[in-house]
Amino acid sequence: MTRACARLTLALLCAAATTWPLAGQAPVFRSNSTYVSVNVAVKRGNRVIASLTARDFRLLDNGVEQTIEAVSIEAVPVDVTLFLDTSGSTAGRLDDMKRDVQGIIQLLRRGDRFRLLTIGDSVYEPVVWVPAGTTVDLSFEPVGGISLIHDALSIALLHRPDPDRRHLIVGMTDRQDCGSVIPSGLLRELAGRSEAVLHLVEQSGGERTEHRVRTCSPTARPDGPEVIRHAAERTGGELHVQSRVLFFRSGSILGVFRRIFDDFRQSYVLRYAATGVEPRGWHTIEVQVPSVRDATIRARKGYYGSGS
Amino acid sequence: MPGNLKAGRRALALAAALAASTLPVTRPGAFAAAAVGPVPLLDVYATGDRERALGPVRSGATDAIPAFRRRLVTAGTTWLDREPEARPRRLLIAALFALETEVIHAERGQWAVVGSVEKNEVPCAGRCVVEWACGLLRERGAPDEFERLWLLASVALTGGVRDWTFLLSPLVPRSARTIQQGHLLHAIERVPDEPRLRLARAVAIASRYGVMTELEAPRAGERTGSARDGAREIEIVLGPGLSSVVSDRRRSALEHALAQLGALESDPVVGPEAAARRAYLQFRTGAYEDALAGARASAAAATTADIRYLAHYLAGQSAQTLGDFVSAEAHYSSALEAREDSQSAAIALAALTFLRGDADAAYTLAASSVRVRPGDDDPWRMFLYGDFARLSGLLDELRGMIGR
Repeated sequence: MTRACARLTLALLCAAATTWPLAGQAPVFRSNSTYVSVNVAVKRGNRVIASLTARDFRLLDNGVEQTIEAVSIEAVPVDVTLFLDTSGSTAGRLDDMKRDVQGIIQLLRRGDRFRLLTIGDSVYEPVVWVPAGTTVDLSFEPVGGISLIHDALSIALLHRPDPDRRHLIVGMTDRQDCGSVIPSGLLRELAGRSEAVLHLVEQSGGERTEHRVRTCSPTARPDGPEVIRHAAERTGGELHVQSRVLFFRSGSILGVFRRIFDDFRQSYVLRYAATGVEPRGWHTIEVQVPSVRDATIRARKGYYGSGS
Repeated sequence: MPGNLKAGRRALALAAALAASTLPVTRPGAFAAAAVGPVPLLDVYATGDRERALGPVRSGATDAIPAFRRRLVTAGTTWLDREPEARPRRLLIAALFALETEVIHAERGQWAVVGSVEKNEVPCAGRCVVEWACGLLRERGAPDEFERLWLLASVALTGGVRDWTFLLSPLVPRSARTIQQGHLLHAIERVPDEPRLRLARAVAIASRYGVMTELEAPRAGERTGSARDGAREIEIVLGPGLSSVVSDRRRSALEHALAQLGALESDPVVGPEAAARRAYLQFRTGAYEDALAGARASAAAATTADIRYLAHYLAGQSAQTLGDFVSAEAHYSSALEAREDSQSAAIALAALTFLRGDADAAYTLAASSVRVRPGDDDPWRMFLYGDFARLSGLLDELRGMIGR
């Protein structure tokens, strides 16, 4: 690279940096009595549609069109919760997992934060919010028995990021919950009220051993795995299913996470003050992007107005 | 298979067994359970080196377990006789060693591993080792404190693996003439005054209701219930005639379980826990008002933090299901006063707080619930596993009694 070229690159980087909102100046995006914020991802096929502005979006709150502001998530720092289902079935993959977690922390941008939740006899937090790039010392072990997926996801969904940040949850799980305090219906409710975006990556289930200490007690949960998928979709996230073979070939957790995180970074936050609608109760949100034909739009399905 | 080949294999097996039994026991960490067999490990265990004796069991292959168990209950008996004057003490050592090996197997999901019929292996799961060891202790005559604790520990282990039919079978007598059997009956016969064994029997009977309840999302001011209507499903499958027979049988089984627990509620040692377990049964079967009253009574009578926590947690669940969120939050808070930050009540309270709209308080509760407390078992997480939470303490006491 020539010196002039290097100078030009540096100048462009500086110029770009000055247009990023600084932490203290970033818009405050939070659903409260006044403002509602909605994460929106727009794709055509597998291609993420970037560079959209507020004028490209149309948002209906309980059927009433709203005036919105839009900002790319690229400009907003992100809190990332990674949930690893370490309930026995992952034995043998732990070393890979530890390496991948370290890799994920390195993937994050300056200003992003990371934490890790795992499950065994309880929900654990082996990595408590650390800045991007931190080297962490991981020593979690797989524990057989109960599988507290609902509880772990609920704890993740209840996280309250600072107002200038967004929250991305990536859960790697077989979705076979047992032993959780939070029932399916309540998990769906919490997802409907959370501002986080929840993505799930299907992990193949491990063996369910009968007569193992603290093994799953039977649960009357007829549609458990589907409920967890619905919870993700309510937040504007989705379930990513891949074959067992692909899981190992794709750089496992790190590779999957990279795809989800890249997509998330190219999504948008729409903000609006709800007008013309009853503030209390469930609000159905519909987001349209008329300027993009055949667009696939992922956004939270709605929110609960305060006082509901 | 030709006869000489069979004989050759037998000779090889015998040679291998002999070689295994003569391995030096002083070589640290040099053997695996499958290769060595239980006799040398018993020798090491008798010296007080518990870790070295049990290490090979922890690292043993699953397919070697049937042979290990078989050799323990056969060669182990020979080991007892090797020093006749030390036999009384050896009985204690062998019984505790047997139990410790099964604790390890259970932790590894190997409690139910049995031999292969194709290999002509005698089926001997964890049950058979416990029964063998139980027989050793009985052989000594009148039961003593060691035997009482050992029986409690073995029952706690069996609850941990939810092998209720080993403890009692059938769980519910079908008629007055039905003969029940099981490890618990032997234990109660030996120590009839031990209330924990009687509670264990009631818990085993109630185990058919030890199912996590899947509830609808709670709504303030509204009664919510189970997401599944078991009676309706049975009726759809069996038709109204047969389903009423099933319902009658379920009702009588439930009444039997409730009566067993109710009879223990006045016991000064296990009464509060029996009341909490009775409340859970009522909760499970939709009698939420009764469950709430029972759980409150249990909380008032509780003498330990764990039972107080459990009782308040169950009262919270009952009140929540009845739509009384204020009462539910108060009970979850009381549970957390009994055991700070314990996760089950903290998550339940956080969820209700969030629904109420106080996201900041919900976040604080959820964040505190993931604080690491190694070895601190949440009583609710252990509730459906009988007395398993007490196993570790019981084993420590037993080890202390034989100087381990």
